[in-house]
Amino acid sequence: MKIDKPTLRSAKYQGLLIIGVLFGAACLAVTALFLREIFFEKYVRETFQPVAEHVAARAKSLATSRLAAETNPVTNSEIDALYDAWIQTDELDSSGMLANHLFEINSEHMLARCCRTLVIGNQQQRLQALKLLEFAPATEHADQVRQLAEYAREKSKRRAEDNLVTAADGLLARLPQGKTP
Amino acid sequence: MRGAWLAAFLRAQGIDPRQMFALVRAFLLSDLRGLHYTKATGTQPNHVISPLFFVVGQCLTLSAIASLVLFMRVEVFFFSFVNLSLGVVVIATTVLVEFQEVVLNPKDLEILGPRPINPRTYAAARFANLLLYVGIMFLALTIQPAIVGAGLRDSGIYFAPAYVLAAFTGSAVAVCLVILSLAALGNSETLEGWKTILAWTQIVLILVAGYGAQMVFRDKLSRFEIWGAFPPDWAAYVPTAWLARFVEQASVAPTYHTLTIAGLMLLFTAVCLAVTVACVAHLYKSMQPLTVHVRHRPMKSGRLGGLAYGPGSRLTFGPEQRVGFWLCGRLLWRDGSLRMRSLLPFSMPLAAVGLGIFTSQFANPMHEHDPALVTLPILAVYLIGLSVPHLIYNLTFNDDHEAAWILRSTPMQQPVGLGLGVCKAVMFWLITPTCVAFAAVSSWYWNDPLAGILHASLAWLLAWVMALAALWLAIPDLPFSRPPDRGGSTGPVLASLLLSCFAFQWGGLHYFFAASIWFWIASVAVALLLMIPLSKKADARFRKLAGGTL
Repeated sequence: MKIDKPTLRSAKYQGLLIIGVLFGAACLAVTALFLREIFFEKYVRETFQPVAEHVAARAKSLATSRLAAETNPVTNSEIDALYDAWIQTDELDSSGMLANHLFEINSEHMLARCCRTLVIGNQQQRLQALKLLEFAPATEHADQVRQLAEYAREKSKRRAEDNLVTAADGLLARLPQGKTP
Repeated sequence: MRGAWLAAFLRAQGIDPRQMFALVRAFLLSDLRGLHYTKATGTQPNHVISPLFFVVGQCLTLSAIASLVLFMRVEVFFFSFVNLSLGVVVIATTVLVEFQEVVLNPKDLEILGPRPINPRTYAAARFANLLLYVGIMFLALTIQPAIVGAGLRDSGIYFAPAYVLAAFTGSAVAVCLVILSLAALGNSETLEGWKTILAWTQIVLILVAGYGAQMVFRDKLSRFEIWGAFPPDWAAYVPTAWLARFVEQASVAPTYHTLTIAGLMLLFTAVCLAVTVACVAHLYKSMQPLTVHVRHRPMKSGRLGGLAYGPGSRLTFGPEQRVGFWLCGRLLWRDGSLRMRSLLPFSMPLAAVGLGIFTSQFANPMHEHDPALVTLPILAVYLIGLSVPHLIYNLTFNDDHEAAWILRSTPMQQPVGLGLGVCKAVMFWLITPTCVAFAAVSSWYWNDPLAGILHASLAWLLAWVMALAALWLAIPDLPFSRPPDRGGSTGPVLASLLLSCFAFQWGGLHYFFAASIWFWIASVAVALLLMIPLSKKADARFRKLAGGTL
């Protein structure tokens, strides 16, 4: 059968062309599913600057001694770098001294940073953010912390991330129940 | 065998199967030619790729961008909300734009009126055509989100059927609302103008999705994802949010309650469809031939040869410039398709400013030297100028091009005046307001009115230089003298490339020397000097296009 311009312009071939494109779109969507882990999920995380040596040293000194914060107080410009270090370094601040100090300086900003990490971070980053939230002033920001913890719990539960669910449950249990005066 | 069964069924309903299939075939051909989409896509009915194919392609592109950008970045609810909202808006505008071709066309009576076709057969053919048209659009908008969304980490096995059901309900109700509203409104000239503009919805949405995706990727504060995770209270009142909540519930934790909601949704859709079918069937029965009204608007004798608009008279010198100025303003105002084609390049400076402000990368180049912070504001200045050659080129193509014989046969002393008039109209109606807006926004954002005004003035001056260059290099014929054709929207590629190289080199100097007053003085001097040879070249080009002068 000869396929020329008038044949291609016919309703039958135009219909076939449209069906072909729809099929191609379905194939593209299926390909995206196959590439989920190696392409899409790989890039879904919060991007942090690598922790500079002086920031790491400062974070460590603030996490181990209260004297460091008293002699050389943390400035607003340092908060983000210290937060980045906290999220990226496991077991940096097991006593919570640095986290407490960061919340004391600017609790609203710290809650906003935790919120962002919980929304766009990968599993490890979200776990760190939940750990950090444990040191948030529970009486002052109970509603905000509860909202973030519940969001993190629901998200993790749906994704079957058990360690995150446990961490969120622990955080929720520690929050004061009922309305604060 | 099946055909015989179908024919018997149709006959039992009082429908002539032969007539119905012939009519459906004719309507399908009409769908493929898509009257309004022909204007938006620049594809003619005689091209191998039909306008309908382009519309399907645009729907697929839009849903692909939305699905793939959101994939793994957001949760089920927000993914469904965005895709369902896009789907409903696009399908509603598609039916609205091609309403006459797809649903109800009084012109059918001129052809079918004298033939023995009963209203039932006509209605059945129209509904079959509508079903096919809406079905194709629905598939194009639903197929990708339904598959991609099923791969989200928090979605379950019921995501795909729940999404398809929600999309079906949303699309069907939107289509019913559009059909019922248009059937109630009837035919109107204002609506026709709107249809031409709405035909661009998909293209505009693709641009919004493209630029929006850039914003999502570049925004360090991730505001879009946070908005989706904690939507504001008003979002709960948006109907597509209800559908998205249903998809979320069905895919995460389905219960019998979810099944009941699904049944209710189907019932509601069936009621909407039944009401629409009854209403449209009634319209088919009572359809009347179209009457044409002619308006006479004679020009007052005192206004002949002049321009009614004061500033237009003061800006233009000579009859050629006045003609160009008037024609440009009039046609841009009247022809929605021409307006949309011409305004499309302005999306780029707008996107650069929006993206810059949204991602906090819109610093004052006179004070800041970090390329990441000043690239977008510098780009915005030069993109305003670079949109002008594209615009001037586009003004060559026009639906009323057949009237251009008047321009060709008119004795002109200065043919370039026609082009200059067009350029002045473009500068007056489009570039000046754009630059004023740019000056206001940048002054406010930088907290430095002088820097804002200087940048806007440079953009304005560059736009005028580009307009003169376009008269010389870009336009293929006299303004408004050619029919719209494919490629008209892409612009003159070679000339654009040449002018872009020139503008971006200027932009490079801008980056290095913006803090120096000498850069601004030199820029003005260079622009003024460039105008002299460009005016001469444009003059020579127009003499050639007009085929000589008096």
